[in-house]
Amino acid sequence: MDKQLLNRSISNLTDGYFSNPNVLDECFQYNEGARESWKHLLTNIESLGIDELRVRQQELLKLLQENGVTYNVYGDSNGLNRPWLLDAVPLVISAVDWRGIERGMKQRAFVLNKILDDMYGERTLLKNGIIPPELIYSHPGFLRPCDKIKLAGENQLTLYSADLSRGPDGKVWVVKDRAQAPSGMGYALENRSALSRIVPELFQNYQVAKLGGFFNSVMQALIQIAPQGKENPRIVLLTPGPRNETYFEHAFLASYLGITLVQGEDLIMRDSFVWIKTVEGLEKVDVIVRRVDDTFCDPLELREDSQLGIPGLLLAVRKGNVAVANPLGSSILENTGLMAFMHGAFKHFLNEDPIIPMIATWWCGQKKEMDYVIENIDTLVIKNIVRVGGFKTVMGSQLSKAKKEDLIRKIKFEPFLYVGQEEVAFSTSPIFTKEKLEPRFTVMRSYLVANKGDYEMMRGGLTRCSPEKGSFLVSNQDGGISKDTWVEATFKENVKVEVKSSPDMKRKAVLPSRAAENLFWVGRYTQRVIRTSRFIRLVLRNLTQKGYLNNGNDTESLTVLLKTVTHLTDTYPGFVEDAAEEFNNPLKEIHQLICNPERAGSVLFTLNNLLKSMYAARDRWTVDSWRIIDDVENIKRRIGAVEPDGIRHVFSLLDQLNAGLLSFTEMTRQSMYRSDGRTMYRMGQLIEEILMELAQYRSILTVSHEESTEFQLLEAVLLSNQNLSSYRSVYRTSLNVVPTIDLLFLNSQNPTSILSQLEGLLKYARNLAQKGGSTDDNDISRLVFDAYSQVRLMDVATLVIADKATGYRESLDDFCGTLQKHIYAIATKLSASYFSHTTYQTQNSKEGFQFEV
Amino acid sequence: MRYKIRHITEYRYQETVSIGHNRLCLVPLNYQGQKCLTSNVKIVPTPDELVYQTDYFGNTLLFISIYKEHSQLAITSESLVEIVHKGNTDQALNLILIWEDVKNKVALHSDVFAEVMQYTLPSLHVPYSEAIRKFAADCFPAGATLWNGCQALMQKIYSSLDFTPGFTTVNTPVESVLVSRKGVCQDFAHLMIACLRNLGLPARYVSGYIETVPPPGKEKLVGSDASHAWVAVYFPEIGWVEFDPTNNLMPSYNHITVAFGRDYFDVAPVKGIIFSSGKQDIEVKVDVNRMS
Repeated sequence: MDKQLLNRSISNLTDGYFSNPNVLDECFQYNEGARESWKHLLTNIESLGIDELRVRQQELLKLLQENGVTYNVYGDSNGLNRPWLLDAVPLVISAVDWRGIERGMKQRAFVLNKILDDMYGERTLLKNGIIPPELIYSHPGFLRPCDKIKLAGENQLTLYSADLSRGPDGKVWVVKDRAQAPSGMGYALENRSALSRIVPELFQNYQVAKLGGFFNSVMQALIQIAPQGKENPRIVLLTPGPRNETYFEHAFLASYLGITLVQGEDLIMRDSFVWIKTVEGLEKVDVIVRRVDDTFCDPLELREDSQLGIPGLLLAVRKGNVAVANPLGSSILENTGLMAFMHGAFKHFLNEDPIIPMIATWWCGQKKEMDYVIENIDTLVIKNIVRVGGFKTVMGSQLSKAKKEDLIRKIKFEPFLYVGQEEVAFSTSPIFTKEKLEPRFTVMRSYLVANKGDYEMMRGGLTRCSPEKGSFLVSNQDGGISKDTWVEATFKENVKVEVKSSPDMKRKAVLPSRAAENLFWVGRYTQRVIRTSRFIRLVLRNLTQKGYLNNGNDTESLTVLLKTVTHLTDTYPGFVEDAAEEFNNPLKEIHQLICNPERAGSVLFTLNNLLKSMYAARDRWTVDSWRIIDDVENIKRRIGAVEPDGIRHVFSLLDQLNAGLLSFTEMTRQSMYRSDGRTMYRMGQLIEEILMELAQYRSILTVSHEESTEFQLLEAVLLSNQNLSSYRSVYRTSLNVVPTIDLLFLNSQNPTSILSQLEGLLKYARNLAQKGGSTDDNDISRLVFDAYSQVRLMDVATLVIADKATGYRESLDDFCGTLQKHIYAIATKLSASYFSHTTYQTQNSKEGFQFEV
Repeated sequence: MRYKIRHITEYRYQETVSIGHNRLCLVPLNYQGQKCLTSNVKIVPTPDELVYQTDYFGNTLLFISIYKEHSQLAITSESLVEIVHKGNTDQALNLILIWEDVKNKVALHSDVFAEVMQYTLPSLHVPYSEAIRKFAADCFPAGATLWNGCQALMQKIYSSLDFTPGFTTVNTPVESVLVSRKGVCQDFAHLMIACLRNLGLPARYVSGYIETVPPPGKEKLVGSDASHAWVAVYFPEIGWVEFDPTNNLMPSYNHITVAFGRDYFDVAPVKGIIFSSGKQDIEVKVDVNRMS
């Protein structure tokens, strides 16, 4: 492109870009145009054009949303997920700059590793006064039960991460260290893959360093710490669960690395080993990558109130039978006060100065430093040495006089808990917004992984920008915008992007019990939503078409159908109570049963449960399934917005919902071929189908009605089971109760007949029994077989005999009731045998401290 | 003096426990003139796993795991302990140590005090507190010796607090004990430790037993003894000197030490996690018998 043209259009994009010439910008130099390393990118943006860039920006956000990339904010009333924001313009780091950063970060990782090793070993740093003992002993991250624990190999710190920023002088600074369970590398990977997919043009003529190699090294590092040098270790990723803010990433990383995603309750300590509870029994775990804070990992020796950990874990760790990365106790490195003593540590271990400087920090545990902090409180940021806890970081300058005095009093009272830090000077980088580039303050999170005594750095990172111009808040909690991070590669790389073989892939995949339970419930809720919404839709159609209460026969059949709605949704008393108020205005109740998510049993209520189970089994769905889940989520929102007088809009929404769930089912059928997961999911589906059908049949077929009413009811039942046309082709008679029951219960050609569904259930139950070691049957499969033979042997002609006076078909009702109980028993037994039900509690302590001489 | 101690802890669970892990801190220490001659911990049902470990503080811990369903757990710890001469009280009495000097020395972070200084810091049951600082202040006037200060403090706690079993639990904050002025030996010990630490002096928690003497003419009741808790204060050049604020005396021959820690949390005699959701009952019986 013509250079002049380039400059002109760039200036369109950057009109009024600089508002503060004292702030350094990563891309543009004040009055001098763009930096050399950004020029390729800007050229590519130019040739794409502003309009197109805007379109792609939208597509980018849409893709991330569809892929379910989220960041959860605790206590966010908008529900669990906040969409992940990614700017189309990446952050570019030149090869020259990168070399310096990489050298500096490796040096820092090396020293932090040595500090960690020393803290849980000899503690020479404390004895020699290089780090004040108070700073360590007063920090809750120093875990005394972890003393002397060592990982195999020289690296104690497996994964390390730090936030970097660039000051006005162009120097890169370390803002903070993350050393216990660094988050974000999965988002970095997802950012890259989304950007290269949606805006590939940006990458033209530019060598961007690849990220895949780093994840290979992560895998290698995890294999290296396996106990007894095991070559093919079982590695799990321990997550606090779906409510955690970065749960998406846990699930994403687990499936990317091919390791098993687990929660504390999936694991137990036994015989000094850690085991994963699977559908097939216990399997030994060798390495735990944790995303649970260390104090929560073992309620026996650490925080007693934790429900996220594995009681007794530390015993297995101390015996060297399981490795935890990062090791328990590594949160001591996140002690903000350490920043003030890092120079000493660099000197001690390397006799070098830090290549990358860090934020100037004064630890108040020393008198002189405390005085300095109090005197200069207006220019400093005050932090607690503990990252999480009651104290929120404050800027001294923003405090009222009273608050400031209060803070000073606190500092003087427990000085060792506080540090003062210089306010961080961030550089800005351009983000694309409102058809323009705008400068936003920028922080990059970098990642390093242990590699044979040294460290390897991800050639990229997670860049975050402030959502508002001029704001310093860049964290995800504050709604920050992320960027892909481009490190200029000096040569064409040949790195495998995919992890080709992870150890777990060589092993048989396991299904943790909790995942099994989630999949079972996904199966059940899916069918429950499909069945109830389909039936309610049919009733609603009758209500709105016929004009309720106008016609005597219609009224009778409608009454039965409405009662069935109550039975099906388990929303008693509803329409079941005689002379129920609901009959006066059935539309109101029907609207509630569809659109009110607070009403237990409603379509939306069940749908919410379904989405929760799907989300909890996040790592089990392919990207395509996830896209459907996202659609369903959107339909859910629209159903929730339907007002009572606009209920006719609900028809097409329910159709969309059903279509979405059916394609989810189909997608799942294809992608979960023949795994234990599929077995659980299918059993859930089948059990729910049978229960839903029985509830319908009991409510509709167990009383005989006058001919035209009976006709309408049989039609409704067959319709809602999608059997009406097969009825007509098979029986070629007018609707009659005996052939209907035959078709619904016994016809093995009919895939939704009770018999066919039980046949399917039997197949899966036997599958499970064989895995459990018994050759053919177990308690569950025997129960299923029992139910199967009951149906197989049912005598329809006898069952339909009705009481002359009341029309009640008692035998049929009993038959259905018994069968229902049977199916419930199967579900209960399944749950007891295969799902984890591990609630634990602390043992009481009552002391005999009752004595005085 | 030789003592035979039997410490029984019994749990009854309302619902079956499928897995139980316990961390026991019941084996008496060997140190300074106290010798643990024998120790035997019997557990019913028999644990599937039993591991002895030495903890960070040098105490002997016993980890037990039971993997079979059980609805009761009985832990009987029997030990034989010889006390030759407990305490360095005479030394402490005779050494002139000004308490501010001790405080400043420890705060200097020299090699010698690097470990000891952690006992001047807050811990789970021992917070820094204005109220506690105020309570302790008059026991340590400027220029007082550490010994005199500790004696005054012990006396003050002894006379300010009512020994009232059942009023507090293991989780009652020491600051509210200061308000209610009621508690058991654990509260007395935590309060004294809190006072010392709030003044910058190193103090730690001692868990153990005490021999009890029946009223004249009465026979000693079995199980009437109890686990006990007291305090150790660090005296530079001497070491840890023990004080019993519950009884306002210096432990000599009647106190048997099981473990040292920062506070109760570190040395709770029985601590466990059970996989069960039901309620539980606990009963504790302790006998301390003098053998010679």
